[in-house]
Amino acid sequence: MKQANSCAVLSETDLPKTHHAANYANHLLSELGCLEQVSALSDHPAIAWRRSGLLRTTKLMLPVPLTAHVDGVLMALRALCPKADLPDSGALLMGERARLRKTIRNGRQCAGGYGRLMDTANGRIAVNLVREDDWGLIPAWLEDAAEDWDGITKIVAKKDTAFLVNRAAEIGLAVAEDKLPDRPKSWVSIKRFEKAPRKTNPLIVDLSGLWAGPLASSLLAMCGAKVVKVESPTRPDGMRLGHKGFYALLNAGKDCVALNFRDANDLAKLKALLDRADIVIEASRPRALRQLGIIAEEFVSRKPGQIWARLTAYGQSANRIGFGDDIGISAGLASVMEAAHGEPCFVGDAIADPVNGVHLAIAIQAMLSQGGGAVIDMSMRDVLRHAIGDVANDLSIIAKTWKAIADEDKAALYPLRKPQGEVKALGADNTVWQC
Amino acid sequence: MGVVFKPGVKLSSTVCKTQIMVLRVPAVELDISCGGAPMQIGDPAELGDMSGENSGTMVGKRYTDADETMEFLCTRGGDGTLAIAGYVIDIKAAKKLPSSD
Repeated sequence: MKQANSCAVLSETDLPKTHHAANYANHLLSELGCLEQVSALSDHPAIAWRRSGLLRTTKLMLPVPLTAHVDGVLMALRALCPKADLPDSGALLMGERARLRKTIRNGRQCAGGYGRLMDTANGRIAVNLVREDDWGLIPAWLEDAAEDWDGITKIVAKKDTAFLVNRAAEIGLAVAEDKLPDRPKSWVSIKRFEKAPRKTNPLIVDLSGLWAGPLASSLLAMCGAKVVKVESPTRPDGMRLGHKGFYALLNAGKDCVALNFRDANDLAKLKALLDRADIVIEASRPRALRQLGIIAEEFVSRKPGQIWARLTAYGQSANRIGFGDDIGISAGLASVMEAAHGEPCFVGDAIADPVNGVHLAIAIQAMLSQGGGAVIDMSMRDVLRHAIGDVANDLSIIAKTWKAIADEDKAALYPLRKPQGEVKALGADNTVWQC
Repeated sequence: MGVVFKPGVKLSSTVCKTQIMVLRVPAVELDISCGGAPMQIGDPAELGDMSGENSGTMVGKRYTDADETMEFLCTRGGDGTLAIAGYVIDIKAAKKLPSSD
C-alpha cells in the first residue's frame, strides 16, 4: 500500500506535520519540467481538513490527503514565485466559500444546495441542477415528467445509470456516476509550441467564469500577471450575483471587459485582445470557441511564447459539462466516503473547482517560467482524481485515526483572506482595452 | 399534418444531416420541418431535396420559437433550417451561468 509511508506523522510537536504536501509539490514540479524542489513540512491532511472548515461543511473526515496535496500545489507555486504574496494554505482556498456562505452538506444534498445524490436501478448518480433552465430539461432527460426532487428521485430509481449519464451529457445537464476511477497517470496534457523570452508581468485574458478559472488567474495575478476578465454582456459571470465577498476574493483587482461574442464587431475585438494576451484561460465547451472561429493552436502558432489553458469537466473530446460538486462525485469522493463511513455523500463545497483552480495556476506558471508556448488541457475530473492520491484499502481505520487527530486540534480555523483591490463592474474597462 | 411529440424524442431531417432532440414542447400537434420537409423519427434511407431558404443548423445549439414555448437541441448539424408550421425557429441564447455551483 503506497499509503503507508505517506501517512506517517513526522513531527514531535503536538500538531502533526507531514511530507504529503511537499511530496505532491515535487511530483508536480518535476512533471512540469521545473527544476525547483521543496522540502517543508505542512499540516497533516486531517488538521488541514478541519482548519479549512471542510470538516464542518462535510460533517465527516475525508480519509485521503486531498487538502495536503492542494497545500502542495501552493508550495510548488511559491517555489516558482518566491516573492509572490500567495495564500499560506491551499486547503484554505477549498473551504473559504462554504465558510463565507455558511453552507453545510445536508444528507444527500451538497453544501451548495443544488446537487443531490440518488440511487439508480443499478448504481448511484449525482444530479446537479445549478441553472434555473435545467428544470425545463428534466422531461427530455427522463422521458417522464417530474416537478421536484422527489419526483426525479422516484424516476431515476428505475433507470439505468449509463442511460441517465449519457443522456444528461447529450442535453447538457450535470449528472455524474458515483464511482472511483483509477488514478490517471497524468493530470495535465501539454502541447508545446515555440517559446519566447520570459515575461515577468504577462497579460492574462481570462474567458472563464465561476470558480476554478478565476481562482487560477487571481493566483497568477499574485505572481505578477495583469488580468483582463472577459464576459458576455448577456451572460456575465454568474458569481457576480452570488456572495459578494467571495466574488471579490476571486476577482478584485482584475480589469473587466464585456464583449458580445455573437456580434461581428465584438468578436473581432475579442480576437484582437486574444492576440495581445500572453496567457489565455478558458473553461467553455470545446465547440463553443471553435464555432466562433477561435482555435487555440492557431493563436499560439502565431505568437511565440503564448500560453492557452483550457479547462473542461471531462476532457476536450468528451463534450460533457460538469460543475464542482458533480465532478467531485465522478472523481470518486462519494465512494471514498461510503467506504470510510458507510455513507456516500458530497465532499466539501464544489470541491473540483478550487482543486482545479490551483492546478491550473501551477501548470500555467510552470510553462511561463520556461518561456511559454503551450496549449494546456486539463480535465477537472482527472485533476481531482489525481489530487485525491492513491486510495488505501483501510479507509474506515484512517477516517477514525484522522478524526481523532482533528478532534485534538483546538486551534482556530485558517484566517479567511481579505479581497485585495477594486471589484470592477461588467465591462468597466472596455475603453482601456479598446473593446 | 401534425404530430404530438414527447420530450426526449429525436427527429431527423429528410433532406439533410440535421438531427434534433425535443426538449420542451406544448402537448399539441406540431408540424416540425427542416429544409422545407417534415422531420421524422429515425434517419431516412436517402435524403430528398431541400426547398426554401436554408442557413443550416449547428450541433449543440438550442432552437426555440419566438415565444419560447418550445425548445429543441440540435444533436447533429446540417444544411437545412428548422421551422414549425412554416415559421423559422432560431438559436436560443445560452443558459445563464449559475450564481454558484
